[in-house]
Amino acid sequence: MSTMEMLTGFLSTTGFANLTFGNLVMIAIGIAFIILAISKHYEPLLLVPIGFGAVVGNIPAIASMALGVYDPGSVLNYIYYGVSKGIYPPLIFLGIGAMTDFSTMLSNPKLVLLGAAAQIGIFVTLLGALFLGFDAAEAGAIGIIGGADGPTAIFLAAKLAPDLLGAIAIAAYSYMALVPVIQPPIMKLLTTKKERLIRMPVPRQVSQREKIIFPIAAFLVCALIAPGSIALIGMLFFGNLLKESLVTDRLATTARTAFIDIVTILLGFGVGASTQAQTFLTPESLLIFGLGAFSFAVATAGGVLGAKTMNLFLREKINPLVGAAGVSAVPDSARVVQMVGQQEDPSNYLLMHAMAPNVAGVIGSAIAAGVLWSVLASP
Amino acid sequence: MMAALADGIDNITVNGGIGIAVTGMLIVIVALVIISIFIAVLPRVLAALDRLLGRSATTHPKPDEAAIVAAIGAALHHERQRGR
Repeated sequence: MSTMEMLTGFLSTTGFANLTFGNLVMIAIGIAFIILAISKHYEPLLLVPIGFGAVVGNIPAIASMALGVYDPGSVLNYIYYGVSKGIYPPLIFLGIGAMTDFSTMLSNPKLVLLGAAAQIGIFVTLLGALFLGFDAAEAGAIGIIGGADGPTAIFLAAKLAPDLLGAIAIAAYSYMALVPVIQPPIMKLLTTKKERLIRMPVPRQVSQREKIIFPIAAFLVCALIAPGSIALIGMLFFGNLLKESLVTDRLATTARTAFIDIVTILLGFGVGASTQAQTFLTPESLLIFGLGAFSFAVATAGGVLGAKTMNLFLREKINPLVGAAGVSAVPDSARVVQMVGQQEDPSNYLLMHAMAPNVAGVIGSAIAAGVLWSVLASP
Repeated sequence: MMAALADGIDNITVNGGIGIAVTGMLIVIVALVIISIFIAVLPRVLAALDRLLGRSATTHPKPDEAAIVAAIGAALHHERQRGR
């Protein structure tokens, strides 16, 4: 082989020769994610790995070499294995459990119901996806975006609609980052100034025994009702038991720091790398993004309206803004509740109250994922 | 337009969309209502259990002995300094 032939052969394998317009668009989107994360601090722990993963995943692979995320045996394929098999999401839940304090929820059990009300976003979006022509399994995977929980969305998409995993994951995480933009207008639209000014009593002190018993009992309830949720719920409550038992501090500390960070890096990078233009830039992805925004809006409205409905029966009123935190997206939606509440009354602290439906929302969306998986998975 | 609308509604019906949505939402609500009731009842059950077993209802954290010794030592030192 002459030098010229070798050079020509090499040039034909370079990224420049094989880059498509779609790859360029996806690389631009990846860079936009990185810029948003760095300059606007929008979910930087997720958007930086996802953004860089998108850049890496859209460099055209050489046909004869195992390089791309979908090429069996490639390094990226091994990283993506944890995403495509739904391994990373439960591990993330372990870390989330080890950092979650359920005290506010335990001190005010009626706020748990707001975590259920907000899950209506999942099921209304499922209907919307069916209406737009998706099949039942795909519609279930798209609907879970309304749970505002990235790991849950990835877990269910991996089980029900692997082809849509990239679009669903990106939509879920993008909208989670946009919670401070999406939620406030809906919260203000559905509440009066008087309602936004409602103050809630300071939550009672919760004993350590309650905190220890809760993860075991709640796991049994959830797992027996929806066995499909055992991987997510089991790891969430296992992590929480490590934290609350007070005898496994080392394990809890590892789970909520180094462990969750490692899994987040692998998950974010793997999801980003899976967004190859050829599989990602499709009309379906655009529909999924539209449905994702719709599901967040419906979930927020569901939580707020759920709180207003409960107020019809309660003597001690709930500030309906707190209902918006039922969409999970921990702790961003709780922070949004605090922010919107303080715009009306700077001395009204709603954060601790909002954390109750917020963590209940995590449980609710994991149960919903378990139900949808068991109902919609092909035999 | 009307055909697309009919197709969409047809797809929901064929896939049993309404049934899945209603059942799914009900299961989530039932699970969280049970958890909510459990949380509400738990402190009372624990208090009743404590009464039954003749234990104090409030559990005090185990005292930090090193801190107590340090505090006693500091108090003694302070007292002796004053006595001089």
